[in-house]
Amino acid sequence: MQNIDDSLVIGGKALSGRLFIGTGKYGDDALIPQIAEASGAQVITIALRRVDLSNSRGNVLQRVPEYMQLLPNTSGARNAEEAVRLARLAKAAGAGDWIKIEVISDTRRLLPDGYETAKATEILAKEGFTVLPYMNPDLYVARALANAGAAAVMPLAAPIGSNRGLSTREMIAVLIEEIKLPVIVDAGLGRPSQACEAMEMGAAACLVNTAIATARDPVKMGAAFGEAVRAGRGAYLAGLGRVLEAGAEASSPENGALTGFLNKTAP
Amino acid sequence: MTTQNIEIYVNGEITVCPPGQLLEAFLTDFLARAGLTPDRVVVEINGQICKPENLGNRILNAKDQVEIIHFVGGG
Repeated sequence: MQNIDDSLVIGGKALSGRLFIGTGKYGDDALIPQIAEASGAQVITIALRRVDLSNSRGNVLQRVPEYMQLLPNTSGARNAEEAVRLARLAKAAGAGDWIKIEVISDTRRLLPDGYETAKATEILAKEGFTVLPYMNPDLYVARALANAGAAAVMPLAAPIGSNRGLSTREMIAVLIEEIKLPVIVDAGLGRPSQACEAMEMGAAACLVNTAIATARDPVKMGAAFGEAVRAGRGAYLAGLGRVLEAGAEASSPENGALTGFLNKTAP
Repeated sequence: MTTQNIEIYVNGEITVCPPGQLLEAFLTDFLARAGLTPDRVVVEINGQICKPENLGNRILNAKDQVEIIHFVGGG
């Protein structure tokens, strides 16, 4: 567990865990509480859909531990209006007032629409929602979201569900430097080492769903991501050591080495 | 004496129900078929969210567009 002084505060709520997990793509939803426990995650995403009589897996909320902070998303929204509608439905359905805005109209690339996301963020923040927008790591979009009242920004590491890792590393680093809000790396992280690197860079948290859900053992992978995020945060707080531009520098003292002494021939 | 059923749209599909059908009874029956209870389900009717306390006094009318929504897994 992180030191209590290092809790991440979002929407006035202090979170001790910096890994957020999802609830999608699990072969068996009974894994969800096990992954929640193994990973130490405190925040969990859910989605809204029509009740489907032909294929109902039941309400996923029954699988979410009571202590967790729900983060419903607006997946399926193609514009700001639909995102706002879904956010209000999520609140009315009892998920509280946190919302992950996700506006995607390109069904092939699945990249978020920054303009529509900012519009939805402004409307929902004014209504009192704690808004966490999913975004491309673009500095100007991030500023627009901050001005619109976002509680955090959630840049993608790589396209949704791809497990391709921190392909937007440099742009995320720019957001971490320039944006005062927590930067939560979302989408595309495939390995614990990539989540760890994002945290070392100063990301406030990471959201991981597919990499855990598609692992051979999702519970073990959830635990591994939890450890990676904690390690990366610890490294960030410790301050990474400097990098030499060139050459090398021995870690052991150069003076008083026995071997140099022994190699000298006696007079 | 027979009464003519009315047609409504439920989650985008045409559905019939008896005239004077209360939304709450319709919902309970619909959810029972899905093995669900009304807990943490939200209903939208003609684009407006129907508060739980209003489900019991809303009568379904022909052409009503009813959306019955709940939470599923997502990232």
